[in-house]
Amino acid sequence: MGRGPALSRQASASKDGSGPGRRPGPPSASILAGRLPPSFFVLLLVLIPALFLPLLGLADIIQSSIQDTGSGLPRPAALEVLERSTTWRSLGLSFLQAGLSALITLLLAMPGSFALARYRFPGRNFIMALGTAGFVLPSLLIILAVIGFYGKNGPLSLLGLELPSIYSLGGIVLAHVVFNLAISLSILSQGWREIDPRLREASVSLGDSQLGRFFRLYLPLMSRRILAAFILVFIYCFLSFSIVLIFGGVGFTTMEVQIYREFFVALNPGGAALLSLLQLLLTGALTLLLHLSRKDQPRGFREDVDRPIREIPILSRILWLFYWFVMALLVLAPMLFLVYRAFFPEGSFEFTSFQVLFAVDPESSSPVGRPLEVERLIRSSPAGVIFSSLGIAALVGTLTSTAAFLTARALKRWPLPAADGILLLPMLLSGVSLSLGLGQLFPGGEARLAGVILAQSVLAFPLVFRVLRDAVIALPENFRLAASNLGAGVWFRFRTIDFPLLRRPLLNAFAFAAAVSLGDFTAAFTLGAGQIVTLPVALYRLMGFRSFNSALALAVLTLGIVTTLFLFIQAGASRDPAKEGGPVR
Amino acid sequence: MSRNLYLIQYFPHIAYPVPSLPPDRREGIHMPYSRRPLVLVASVFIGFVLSVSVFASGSSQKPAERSVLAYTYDSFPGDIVDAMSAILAQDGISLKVEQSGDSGSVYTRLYLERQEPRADVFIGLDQTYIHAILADGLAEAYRPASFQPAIPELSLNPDLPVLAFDYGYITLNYDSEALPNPPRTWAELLDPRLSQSIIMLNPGTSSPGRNFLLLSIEQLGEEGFLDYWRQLKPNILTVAGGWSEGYGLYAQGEAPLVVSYDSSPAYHRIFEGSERYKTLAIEGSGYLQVEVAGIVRGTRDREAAEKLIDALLSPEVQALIPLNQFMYPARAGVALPEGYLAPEQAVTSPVLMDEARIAENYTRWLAEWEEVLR
Repeated sequence: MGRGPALSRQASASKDGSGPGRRPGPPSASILAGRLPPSFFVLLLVLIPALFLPLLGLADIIQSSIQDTGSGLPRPAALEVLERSTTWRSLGLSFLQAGLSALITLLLAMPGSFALARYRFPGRNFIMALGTAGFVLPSLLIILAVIGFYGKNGPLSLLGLELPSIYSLGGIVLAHVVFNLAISLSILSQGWREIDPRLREASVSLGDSQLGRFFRLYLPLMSRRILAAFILVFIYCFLSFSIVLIFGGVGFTTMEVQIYREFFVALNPGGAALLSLLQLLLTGALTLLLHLSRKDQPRGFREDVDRPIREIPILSRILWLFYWFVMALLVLAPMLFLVYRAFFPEGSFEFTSFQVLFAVDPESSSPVGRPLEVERLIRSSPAGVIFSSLGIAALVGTLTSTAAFLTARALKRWPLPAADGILLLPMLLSGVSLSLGLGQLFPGGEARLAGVILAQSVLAFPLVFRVLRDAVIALPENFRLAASNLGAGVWFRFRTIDFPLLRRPLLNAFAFAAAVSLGDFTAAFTLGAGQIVTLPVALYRLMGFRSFNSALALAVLTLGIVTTLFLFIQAGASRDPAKEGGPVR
Repeated sequence: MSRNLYLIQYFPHIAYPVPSLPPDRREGIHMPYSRRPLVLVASVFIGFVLSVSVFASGSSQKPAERSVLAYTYDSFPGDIVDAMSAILAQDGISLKVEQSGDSGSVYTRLYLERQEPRADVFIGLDQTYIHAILADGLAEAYRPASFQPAIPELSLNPDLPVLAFDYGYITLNYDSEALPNPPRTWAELLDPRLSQSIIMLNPGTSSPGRNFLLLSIEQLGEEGFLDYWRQLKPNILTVAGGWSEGYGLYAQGEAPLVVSYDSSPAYHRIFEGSERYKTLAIEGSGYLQVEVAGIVRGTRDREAAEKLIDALLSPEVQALIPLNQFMYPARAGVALPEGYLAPEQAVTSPVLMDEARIAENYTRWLAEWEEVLR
């Protein structure tokens, strides 16, 4: 590696060179005075491992390709990829499908997030937990779920419903909605929670209509959250690969597909790396632009204290029921269909796939020839895979939510223009560019475990930061000030003030970081060098060996474990801190 | 002093904290211990980077003994690696295998390291990369004296510095439950009864997909293939990006026909005891897909690299290929397991296009094909 010293230099520079920590003053003054606010260095500490290491790898590839003496395979000059019309057309398609997917996901998530924040109803936690678990599944299984349920042989078609073909832009959007709905619900419902209920009461007493209230009150207050969720979903969809290929068909060559093809057809790593950079620049510019367009800070927010829930009128109840029915059909049904397929592989109940997985009685499960040795295939035992995945996820969750919390605090103390946008940049690195860049830097996978954990933290950071950022801003300072004045230490303050007030966002942040880690294939696969077997790697190996039924069984097992885990986290998050004598009352 | 006044002012409102105070004013207030977050972030990340470096230095200590390093893809079977290790150990050579990604990433690594190669041997590139390996001069020629290929095509072009170690045929597979009467000819494949029944693999992102497109070009002629695909289009359900996606859909019953290997049904026969999935060699044709290995140009230990290639082609290791790779062993005289292939579905006329011709035309063919399928 050898990059440690550079980082510690940055850290010591931040220790020595900052004034505002010692003497309070408006942050803009410190910039004017030629001194950078300390949060700038925090930003650097996050961004250096996150963004610049993979970028360094990409740059190295481009440079190495330019060095080409010309004696080898005739390759297009690296810059030539920019002159092709297909490059720009694929960019257009990327923007089209990602924009549409993000828009529809958010439209669907708006009412649901309101209900999750304001009403208590049976299955509330289960919806969130299962939705988040869907986020963990590899895209191939999302594809199988969507096609299995909506496809020609799915239950809907067999019932005689005439469905439009899912092999279209509609299919892409549907699969992306299935994948991204849970994060949108989570981010938006956190936003709804932070709206001061007194504002609504004021609006009601002033006689505003429901619609007027939505547009004049809620929408402006929610716009930050909506924007944050939009950008996240947009980027995830922009970088999507297998889903776009299978539903979009041959004509639908997005940028990510174009990058892969530059490798595969032209065997031109330099051109592919250049396209990755171009993609990063454009999406990065868009992200920053969207962020700069909104300068205002959240106002009138407070963390919720559960209020008595209003009696819902009967008409609303019916409308809500209809809404949740549609959502369940859209998102949960495909997922449950996967579970059904795992237990009924040939239409009748069978447990063999699970037995094979744990080799309970391998002889009976494969009557011909030798038993399928799952352990040899995935190069680890299924139980070991589950434990190591959960262990890595817990580490990534802790590391990322700690880093994001501290970064958010530092940015609250020393605001930095566009910092929110800049911190989203690491997630713009797509799977292809990440494995390209990191693979170039760590060719033998030397980093192994630490590298995988670090890379997954980097991948999860933007999402986690988004979940925590507004909550930290909304956190009242006066409690902390009081506690400090009364002589409370850092840990005591965190335990008694920050954590109880931020319980829900912190636990959500942890859950999402863990979900990113559990669902990550690229980093584990590239940096783990085949030695670190997480669930997606194991699934990949099973499917590569045509063992789709055992892959399905393992996926359902994953779904079960992750759903249970998130149920616990949700239960912990929605516990009322007031009941434990927290500081709220 | 002013700080305390502030507290007294706001402490009673603790249940509805500071709703009226604009955020910038709140942020201007000095907090004690305000550097702690910064220091904590710094130490977390520095700690992490340090531990990464420690891991890195720990694993890069090389054993002093003679060793050979091979690159291969992730799904290369562990059984075969173990068997090769055992053979090399007899000569006091230790085998180190780095498995990463797919064959595309193996090629990319070889290409990017061409000035200072790390590896001695690469195992598992298919035809997509053979031409580039030759043009880039990434491999050193080696012909083991005692090796006889199973079929004459496997001796490849004698100029190629690579050696085939297994092979298979790219054909269609069909689901005999959903499709009891499969089409047998290219013309029958156009039958409207097969509407939306074929899962094709994208020739722009997958090697089997590429080879199936080449098969159609070789069989139907460079003039006729586009017209054929135009007629076939209504029968294609989707074009999957990779083999896993395509075969996954097929195995889940989404369509009865898929582009795959002729040996794929052997998996279901042997591990699932199912005769449901069968090979469909259209008019007996199949594109010969070859996996090759070779010695990296600039290897530090040419003799050890040769020994590794010999081990890969040895009868013991070749016998492991059918059930681990679901491909055929390249060595002549290595028996297949019983019931491995149903003879009536065998590929009788293998197709292999000249690599130079492919290199010259492939980009154009692909663009034309995409225009038709768009």
